[in-house]
Amino acid sequence: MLAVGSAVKRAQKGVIKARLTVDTETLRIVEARITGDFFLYPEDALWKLEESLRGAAVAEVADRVRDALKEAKLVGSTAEDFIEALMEAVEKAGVR
Amino acid sequence: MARLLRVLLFETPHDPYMNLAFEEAFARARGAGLVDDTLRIWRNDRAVIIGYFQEAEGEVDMEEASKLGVKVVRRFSGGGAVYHDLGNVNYALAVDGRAVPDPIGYAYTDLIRGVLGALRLLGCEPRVENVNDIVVGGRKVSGTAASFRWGACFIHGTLLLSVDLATLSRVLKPPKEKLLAKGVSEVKYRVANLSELLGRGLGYREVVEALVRGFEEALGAEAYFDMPSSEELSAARLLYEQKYSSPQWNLNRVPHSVFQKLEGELSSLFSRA
Repeated sequence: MLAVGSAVKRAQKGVIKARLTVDTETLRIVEARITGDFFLYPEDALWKLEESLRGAAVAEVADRVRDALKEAKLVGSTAEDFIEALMEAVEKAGVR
Repeated sequence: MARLLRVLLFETPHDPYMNLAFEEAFARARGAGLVDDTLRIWRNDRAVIIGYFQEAEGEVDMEEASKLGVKVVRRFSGGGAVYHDLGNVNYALAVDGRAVPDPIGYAYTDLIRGVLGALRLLGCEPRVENVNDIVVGGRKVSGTAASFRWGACFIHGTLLLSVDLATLSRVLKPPKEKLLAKGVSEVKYRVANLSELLGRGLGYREVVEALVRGFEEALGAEAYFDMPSSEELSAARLLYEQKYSSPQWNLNRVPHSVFQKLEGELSSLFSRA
């Protein structure tokens, strides 16, 4: 079964909005979308991050985020803020 | 010879799609080395400009915007949604980004000084808060956003002179999380018009002169006024037709790479020049 969860995380600067579609049987992410008014360089790392989350097990979310953002620079937010938003979205999708 | 700062006053206030298309066009032209470092000063009439990572629906009351004739256009930099009308003056600076070792620090610490200098010339005592918010008397009068691509180091932002704050608060959805955390109830209380803070009207010309002088001092450069080049105008036309007038770009939060045909046409335009 697919479930959708959304969460909003306020960073030091900017808001991170995460929306995930999770397969509640396999516990894998089917679709990820992250929007907001944060500053990330290079900007297109955001789409790479979303791509790396597709198909990932929910338990791998933190590692995928840290890996995808390893070379990127965030201004006013951190990879941990993104992880918090995504993990809350996972929870909202009814997966623990 | 002193460093040169080219100044463009090119604007299409009644067509915000073209205004934003030109923003990308001149940044690319600077990055490609076709023009000098360039400061652009321009205005939009009644538009919401959203950041590269934002979803229009989440930031803008689309029904209200449509009712009021406020257009929604995406810019290529990150950050938050802003409301523009003829009571804003926007600035954009594109310099050569290839030899800048720390572009983020350079943009948000050094280039932003041009705006601070301009505000001082206008009689304000500005401060930078939280990386890139420019605050006067505790109220935000300008937000800035930087981007580093196409070989350029780029920063842009808007100065609120006498913006219609009532319309602003009708079309921009308040960022709930932010406001709850700060104990503020509405968007309009965080921003302020410079005319209100200074207790006098500010003219477009006065602001242009202050921005030019502010950036001249920040860059140690000598300004000269110029017109857009034919490559910039051709690029803006392509960007307008294929990207900035399209709902796909403005509403859907897609990356630049989606516009493959456009990227190819821009590359060949700039390589011919």
